[in-house]
Amino acid sequence: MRLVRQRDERAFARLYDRYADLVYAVALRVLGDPTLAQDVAQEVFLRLWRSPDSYDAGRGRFMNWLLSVTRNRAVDEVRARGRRWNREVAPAHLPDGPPDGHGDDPLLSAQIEAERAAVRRALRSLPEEQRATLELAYFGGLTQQEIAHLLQQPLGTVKTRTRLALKKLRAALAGEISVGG
Amino acid sequence: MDCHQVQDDLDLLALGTLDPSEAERLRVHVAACARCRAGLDAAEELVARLALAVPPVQAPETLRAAVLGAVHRDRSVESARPGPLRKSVPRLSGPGRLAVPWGVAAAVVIALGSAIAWIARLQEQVQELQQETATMRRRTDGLLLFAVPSSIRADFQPATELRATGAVTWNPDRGVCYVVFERLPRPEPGTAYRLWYVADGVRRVDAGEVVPDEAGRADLVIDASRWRGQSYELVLRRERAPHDPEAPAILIASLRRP
Repeated sequence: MRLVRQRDERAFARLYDRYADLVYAVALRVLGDPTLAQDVAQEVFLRLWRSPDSYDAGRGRFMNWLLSVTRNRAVDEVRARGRRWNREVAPAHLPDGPPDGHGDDPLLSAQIEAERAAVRRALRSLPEEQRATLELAYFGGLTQQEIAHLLQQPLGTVKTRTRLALKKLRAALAGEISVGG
Repeated sequence: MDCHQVQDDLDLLALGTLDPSEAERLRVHVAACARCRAGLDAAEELVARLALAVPPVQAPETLRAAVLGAVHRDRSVESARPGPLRKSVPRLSGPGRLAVPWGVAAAVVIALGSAIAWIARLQEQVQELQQETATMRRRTDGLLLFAVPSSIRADFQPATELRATGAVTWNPDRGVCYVVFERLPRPEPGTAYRLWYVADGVRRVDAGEVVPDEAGRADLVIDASRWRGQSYELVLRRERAPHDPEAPAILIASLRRP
């Protein structure tokens, strides 16, 4: 990121190659439309290039920040278009499929894959209703109220499920590898 | 609102799943409370890792071309920009003034030349931005059209081995038709893409030239306010001579009034 701040085009290309597949995959998961996902991913990368200071290293890891920005931007897009967009998206299958590329850094690539496997494992270990609630909130961009309405469940139940899901996820991921930026 | 109540909901706040008013109340507290702020940072780190659960997907090559192309253009513009004028212009007062009058004049002329070049470059940038804005507006309108229930949508089918794809959205009520193409290679030298439409298999109309951008994307809005036919066939052709309706077809889409 230091070189990107110094307007180093090659450094930015390397950064793009490391994270493009992940950024695109997150946008695609939320939006369910390849063209829109591409638009959002493009916007995220260009915003990073044009305002590199928007990332504050003091607030957390670069990859987490980049993925959060992507997810939030994609959710904004879903909200702007109305909910029907993401309702049509199938739930994640959480496969341990072949890894996508992460540029020219094999160590980073291996770390990211290890962390992805850990997160998938942790999510798979959740009871179905907790995982569904979490996914509707995170990838669907739905509020707790909206999830309660959608699942025909009391709001309190939905909140409890979501809190429990995150608590279990925290416990499952504690001590797992986490990737630096 | 005390810390105990807030701590309970920090995970939900980080997940972005609270109603806006509820989230706002919590954020007011977090902004003034270091402990809860640290709790929220930790929760946000955890939530961000959820993104890693997405199935592996490869980003399209066109995305790389679009992003790195724009970055390169930015860099070219930045490099063309001259440094601050004060670096080029010597002081006009003090002991050196009479000793180097021609040097001063030359420096001023060079600085003015650079400034003029810079202004020209800025004007180009403004024009580019205006074009980009118009494109964005057109695309937004087109996508909104897609969301209107009375719109009719059809995908273009390839007539050749080309990997290009396309879709058309026609809204008869609004009298407008939005066409978008993806993965369209740059036309070979001496050729151009042109879209034609044929109403009810009879009248052939030239809808305009289709110019793909660096990412291979192109779009077009067709005025369909006078479309009275039952069916329309849209054909993208690669022309060697301008407006040649017999040029080879690349993509074809059919629309039919419900």
